[in-house]
Amino acid sequence: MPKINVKICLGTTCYVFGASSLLLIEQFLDDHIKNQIEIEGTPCLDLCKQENKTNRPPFAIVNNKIIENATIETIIEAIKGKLNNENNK
Amino acid sequence: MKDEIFIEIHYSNIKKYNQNISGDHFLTKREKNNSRIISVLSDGLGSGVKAKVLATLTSTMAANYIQNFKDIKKSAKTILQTLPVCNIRKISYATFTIVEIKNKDVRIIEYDNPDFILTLNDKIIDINKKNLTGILNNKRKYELKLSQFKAQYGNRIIFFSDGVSQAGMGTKKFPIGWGLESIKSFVSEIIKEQPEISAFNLSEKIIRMAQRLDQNKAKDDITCGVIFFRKPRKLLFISGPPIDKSKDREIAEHIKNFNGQIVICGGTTSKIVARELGKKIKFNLDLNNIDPEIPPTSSIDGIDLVTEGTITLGKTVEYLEKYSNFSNIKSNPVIKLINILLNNDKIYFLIGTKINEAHQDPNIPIELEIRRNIIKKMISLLEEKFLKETELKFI
Repeated sequence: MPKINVKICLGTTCYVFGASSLLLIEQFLDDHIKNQIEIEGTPCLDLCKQENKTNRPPFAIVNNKIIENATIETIIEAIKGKLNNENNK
Repeated sequence: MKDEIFIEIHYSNIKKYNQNISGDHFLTKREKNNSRIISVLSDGLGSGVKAKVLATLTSTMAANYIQNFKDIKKSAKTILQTLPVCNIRKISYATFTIVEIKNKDVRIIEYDNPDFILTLNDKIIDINKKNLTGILNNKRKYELKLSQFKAQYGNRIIFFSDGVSQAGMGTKKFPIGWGLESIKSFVSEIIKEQPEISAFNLSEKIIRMAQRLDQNKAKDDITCGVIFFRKPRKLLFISGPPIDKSKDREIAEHIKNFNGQIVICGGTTSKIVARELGKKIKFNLDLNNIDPEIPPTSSIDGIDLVTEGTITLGKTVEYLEKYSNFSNIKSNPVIKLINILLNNDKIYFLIGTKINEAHQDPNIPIELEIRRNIIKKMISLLEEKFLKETELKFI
């Protein structure tokens, strides 16, 4: 099974809204989940610059799902969701 | 561009053993864009505070006189007459070496200091000196030595106080001190081994050797200045997306045509560069070493350093303001950027002027300054505090 890709936006705006702490997400994951994901940083995804400013930084992307106002909890939730989907296939 | 010479100047000093302050003084003045440089080394009579005062006074006066008047002989005479007189010896005394560099024309005036050494790569060059003699108001004679020449690539001017030339005096190896001839061969050996040795490293090597000859207890203040004429090391500093997308291509052209180091500060800017050059961006994530204040660097093939923009730039200015020496600070993206900045002589700033709309959000928890203002502050620090040459282009 391919690993779940977790992208964390490290653009300036996301960083000042706390993206740095999102990089520590591994510390909050069980070992068996840790092995199934890969974490990477990405330059600004431009999500903060869209016209309809309902989107809130910081942003993360779990596989293709955009998470706005991301926290460790919401990212873990998304990862678990993806894992469940995979398992149910 | 081809004829450009960068003039690197450094000095090193060790004070006399058991003294609190060095009686030698070294001073450099650079006029805007290095159109004229004046360096003075002065050795005050005796040692300690009194000597320091004499030396500081002499070198400051010398630098100011030379800067404002043309007649060296007159300036030197005035200096000699102005110095306070020593009570015991009834003489006013501080020796000096003044180096004035205007474009490539070098003038050196020496008064009682050991002769300077001129090298071209590892060869010692002999210079004809003109003696200027005169009589002071108190009937004392004085003699100055004047040398004039045109500098070229690979020239080094090495000048020092007698603490260097007399180092080791009384030892079996050097009964009358290290001496000019031995110092010349020492210098030429070092340059042969390390043809690109910086002014700083060379002056350090010379004073360390002098100190060793004095059995690590310097018998006099030891000071050595080195002036090195070399090709400038150049840096292209890119930050900020251009105001108009059609100019993206221009940034890529600048990179392709540049001969030197390149840094990019800014996520969007790095994306533009990567796209235009057809390269990938990779973040250098060390998950065990995350700094909540400074975002991590990333890499693009062919670029020496890629950092985030506004936060990193703001912190860089803060560090440049606060510190002068960065070797003891733990490495982080800001320190990496500063090391590259300080390692180069001429820095070309290519600054995009597009405003980042996401930074205008009033909810942003810290103050983010406008790029143009940060860059202006950075440039003035680099020019005034760190003596760099800069060029700024907005795009």
